[in-house]
Amino acid sequence: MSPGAADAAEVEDWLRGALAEVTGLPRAEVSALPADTPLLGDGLALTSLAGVHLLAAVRTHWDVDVALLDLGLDSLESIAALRDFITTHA
Amino acid sequence: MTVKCVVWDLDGTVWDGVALELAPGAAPPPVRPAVLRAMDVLTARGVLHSVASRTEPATADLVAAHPQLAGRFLAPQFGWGDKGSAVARIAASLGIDLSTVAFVDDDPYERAEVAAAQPSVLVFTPSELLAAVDGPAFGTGPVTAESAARHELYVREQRRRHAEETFAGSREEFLRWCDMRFVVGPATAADVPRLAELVRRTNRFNSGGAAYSADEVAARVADPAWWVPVGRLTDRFGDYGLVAAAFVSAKASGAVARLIMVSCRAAGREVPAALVHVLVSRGVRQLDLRPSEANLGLRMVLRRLGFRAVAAATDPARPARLERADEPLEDLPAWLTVEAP
Repeated sequence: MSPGAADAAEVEDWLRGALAEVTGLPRAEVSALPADTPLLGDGLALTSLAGVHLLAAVRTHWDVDVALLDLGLDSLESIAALRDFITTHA
Repeated sequence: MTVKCVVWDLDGTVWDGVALELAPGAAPPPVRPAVLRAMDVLTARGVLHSVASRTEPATADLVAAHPQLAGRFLAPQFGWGDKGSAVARIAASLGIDLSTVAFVDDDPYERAEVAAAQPSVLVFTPSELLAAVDGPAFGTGPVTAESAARHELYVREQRRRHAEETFAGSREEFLRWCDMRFVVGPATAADVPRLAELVRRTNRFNSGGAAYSADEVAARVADPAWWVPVGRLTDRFGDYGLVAAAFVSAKASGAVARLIMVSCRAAGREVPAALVHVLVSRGVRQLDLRPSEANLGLRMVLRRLGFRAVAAATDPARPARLERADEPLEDLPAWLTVEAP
């Protein structure tokens, strides 16, 4: 995929599916969450293991290595932040 | 990387011949003496043992009743599936990284299959393994109480997991019933060997800011300019020993955690977050981090607790710096009691 070619809506749809998978929550429930829902702590409360699996899926699907590119993991602030990070780097 | 678990093949590796070809009722084949010695030496150093045998699942009974092997293997794998997958299941069950697993098999096909399927696993022939036992891959530091008891700790962990699976109640209720206590206090000289071992052995929950030698660990524990808190974990299943530590240096600009580390076996119980809580409550707002693929889980904990990157490391030889604003911390779960007198 060429830089900047990813479509934000497509990324978000994929991301919500991946979040449902790593958290075990029903897809419909994840789809209904506001885009500013935090991924860590209050919000989706991803465990570190679930987070590792999520970023592995991002790397496999979008060829974006969040762990390498985002030192402080700011992209895990919310669903929207990770969507934008993937969209920008894919 | 120090090896944490050796995965053994049985036929032609641990013993001579093929167990399935024994006459019914025959005594099980004896373990090769050099293999038995290697297992004992490694167990004393804290290396775990498992088995991946391409055989009838019933061989599990033979091993369980074997006078020299009973109780030795954690998460053993018996069956006709490929060994690369078996090795991955063992690592997942023990909660260790595949790069800390050694696989030993006399069959070149099996070695090649595991090497191809799991490239980070160290693969040995039996004679290579026996020659390497006293080498650096298997840890050459002093034997600590924690390492000598590591096998026992993992057996206890499996008991705990079984109790969780059969517990009549929610996960929350189970965790409360476990009565987990994380007690933090200053390191003493007696803790130095275990601290040096944590420096060498931890990787998933190691901030990577510094890789101290045993002498450097001892010097910092003795130096009043450093604060070296250590955390011990207990629950109703027993004592897990010293599972977490930090090295904090006091500077004019504030205290900096140069290194934090947590043993894998305590990581799933919010111990990394509890350690960071204790640090923050004592005014530590800065932390050195050498980010890696391996320590991603720890980075997520730090992010969740408010640590942010202030600047990328411009010099790759130096760690990056994370900082935390003076803002409230999210609460730890009620099922973990933290004592930090």
